Amino acid sequence: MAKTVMVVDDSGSFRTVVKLALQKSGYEVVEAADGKDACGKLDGRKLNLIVCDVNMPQMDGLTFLKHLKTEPNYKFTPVIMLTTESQESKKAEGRAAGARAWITKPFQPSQLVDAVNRLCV
Amino acid sequence: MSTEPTTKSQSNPPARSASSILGAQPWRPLAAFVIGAAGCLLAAPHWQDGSFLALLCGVLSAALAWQRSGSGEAAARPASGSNVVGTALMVSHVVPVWQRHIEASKVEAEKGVGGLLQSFSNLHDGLSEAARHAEQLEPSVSAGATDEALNENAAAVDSLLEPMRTSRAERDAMVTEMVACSERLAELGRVSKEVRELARHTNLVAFNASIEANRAGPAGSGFAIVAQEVRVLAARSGEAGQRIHDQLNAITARIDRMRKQAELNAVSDEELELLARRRAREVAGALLSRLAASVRGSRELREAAVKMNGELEQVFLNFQFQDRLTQMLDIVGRDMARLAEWVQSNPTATHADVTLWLETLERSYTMEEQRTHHHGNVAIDRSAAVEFF
Repeated sequence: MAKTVMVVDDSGSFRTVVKLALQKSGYEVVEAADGKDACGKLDGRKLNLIVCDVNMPQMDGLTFLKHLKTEPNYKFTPVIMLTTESQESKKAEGRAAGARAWITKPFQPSQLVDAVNRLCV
Repeated sequence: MSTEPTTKSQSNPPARSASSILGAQPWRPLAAFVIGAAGCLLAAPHWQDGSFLALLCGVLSAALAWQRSGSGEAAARPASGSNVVGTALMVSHVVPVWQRHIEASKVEAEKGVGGLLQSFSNLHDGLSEAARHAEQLEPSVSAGATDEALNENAAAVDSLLEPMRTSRAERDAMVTEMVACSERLAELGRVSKEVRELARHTNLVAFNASIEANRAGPAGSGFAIVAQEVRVLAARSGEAGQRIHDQLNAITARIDRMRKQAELNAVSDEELELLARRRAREVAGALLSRLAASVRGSRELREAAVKMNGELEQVFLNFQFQDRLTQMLDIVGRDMARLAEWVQSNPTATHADVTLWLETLERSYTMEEQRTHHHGNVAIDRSAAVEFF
């Protein structure tokens, strides 16, 4: 059975890029436009991993990550932050909030797929 | 976003509110009057006619102080020229930073689009090469390829079977010969039986002749008849014997022919085997040659596919420029709007304002390149990084 990855990014075209890369490797993909939209999709569906941007409207990635850790069904779901942010302070924030990996854009699709393969539960 | 805020501040300096005017200067004239009056009153007891003079001095002091506070207000309100200088200070420091961001966005866009165009061009070349390989492979991989290959090699395949057909025909001939032999042998058997019958009959006749001869004595005429019969029987026996002899000769000749034929077949079989081997080698060689071409073509197609996969990865990478571009321009746009709003309520600016502004702008950045551009470098140099926690 294919594993499911949620992609959270406010750029529609960017979500499409990530979706294509993951679908090519056999993953099913669920999209969310920002942290608030992603919260609405934590409805009990099985998620094997979440790929999340940091800077988004309504609810940014780190806030969403902290919220995720309060959800009983999703608190152990691994999260990869995929962002243009490269400051160490932001990375430290992400690590403290529970992120499992940090990928700085631009990225090679193979790098993302390797990271997903490694962390997917 | 336009530079109108600067122009606006030059032509229409904003009026200061009354509370701000009074709030700055109200105590001066009053204080001057009180001090002047107090001083004069203290000195007044010693001057008979000095009290009036003291009061006059106090009033004059107050008036002078009032006048000074009025011109001080004017001094406090900068001339329209210094409003322009204050705002121009902000613009002269902030706009170059925006320009660097915009220039970097242009560079980013050009690189991204250029990279995409190159990748698409390489993909096109890759697809053309793959199509060419596929065309070369077509005879080997198309649906009728097997039939075509067999048709092309039909002569060779037939030549493999021809010796077999020849051998079968020869064997058929041998069988025919053997059947004929069998028929002849059967006839020989009948002849032999006839001879035996004749012999038996001859014996019987001879026995009867001897009996008659004894009986006749001198008259033995009957013996003559018997003797005639015996001669006839003898002739018949002789003819039968000749026929047997002829048949035997014929059989011998046939057997001899069969032997020679068998000998010939033995030689043919060896030659057939050699011929079949040679022909089979030729057919197998032709098939292997085609297979090798197919394998080679498949390998080339695989290599083309790997190359195209690499180009697709580059497309994905180059396409991401638009996300970065959006972030760069978003921040510049927001800062422009912020400055336009700021100059509406801040006709002057100091170097401290500029420094604070630029620090606030820098804190809003999300990418390392933005910080680099902020300080003067528009070059874009980055590498994707994956960090596991």
